[in-house]
Amino acid sequence: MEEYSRSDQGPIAGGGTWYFLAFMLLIIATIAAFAMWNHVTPDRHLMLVVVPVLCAIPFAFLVSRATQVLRKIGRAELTTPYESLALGLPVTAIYTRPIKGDATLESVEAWLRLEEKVTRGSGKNKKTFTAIAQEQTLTPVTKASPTQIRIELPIRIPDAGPPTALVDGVELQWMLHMRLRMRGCPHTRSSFELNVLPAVVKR
Amino acid sequence: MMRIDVKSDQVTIGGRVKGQVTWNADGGKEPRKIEVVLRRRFEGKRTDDSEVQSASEENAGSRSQIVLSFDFEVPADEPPTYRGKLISIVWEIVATADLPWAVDLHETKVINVTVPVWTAEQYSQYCINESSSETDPEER
Repeated sequence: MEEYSRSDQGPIAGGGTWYFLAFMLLIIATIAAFAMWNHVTPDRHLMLVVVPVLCAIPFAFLVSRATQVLRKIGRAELTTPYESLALGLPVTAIYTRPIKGDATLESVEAWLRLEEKVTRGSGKNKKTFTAIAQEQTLTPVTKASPTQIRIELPIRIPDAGPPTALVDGVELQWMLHMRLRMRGCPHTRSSFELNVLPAVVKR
Repeated sequence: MMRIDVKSDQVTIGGRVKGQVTWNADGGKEPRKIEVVLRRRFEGKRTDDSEVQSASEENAGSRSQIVLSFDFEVPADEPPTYRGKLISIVWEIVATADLPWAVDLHETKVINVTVPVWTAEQYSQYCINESSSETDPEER
């Protein structure tokens, strides 16, 4: 049997929206400070330096958390018996992540989700809608090891599916989402795309 | 006046949907053309449709009854019937009678496209082929 490993889609620490907002705050504050520099009296220049520095704190915080996570526990992988899963067939997915420092796993939560993504329009009018169509909570089994986080996840995509689909701006995608609560390092999340075949497999 | 009969309204992906469209004049207008289409349609946040296969009878003539048989294949790379939160995927057979100097007549029959059932051996064979085609680019 040839096992298949897929890499983690994160987010490592905090969602992408937080990074975007923190970065935008920093950019806007910097641009505003530059624009106002020649229009204020020199005694207020210090304030124009302090404001962007303060606005850089959220972005720096997020980056430092992500760096800390990667330094202490490395990148995750999810291994399944085959690349494509089938409807109705139970499999055990193995989540592995190296531990580099003194971090330990406190608890883990996992969900299997069917996500719908619908894209409408084109160019400037392009709009994407997303929704969670199905969700099931998984029961992860953690194997303790000083050098590695190893979690077994029993997965079974329902017989009724649907399989993975991508047609004409409509995407149906099964995702595995995990939330890891850590000790000795910031909490982190993982997510993996699961390719599901259009076939029900009966043993 | 127009009726769609299918052998089974349940078909698997990669399978065939067979049937016939029957037109009866019943003293009304005679169609110039009868067309039957297998199409996939979205409902919800998208409402477009995609014609997958079609068949037509051009020489309808002055017959009182026209029977147009069809045998369509649901392509293996298409999604099955689905009812979700943002979107639903509907498969249907649509027959159209092109009437001269009148609004065309449409008849629709919804079919249920499901996924095939495989044995564990079929599945493992598929997966072995899938992984070998990834390692050997010439096989793709």
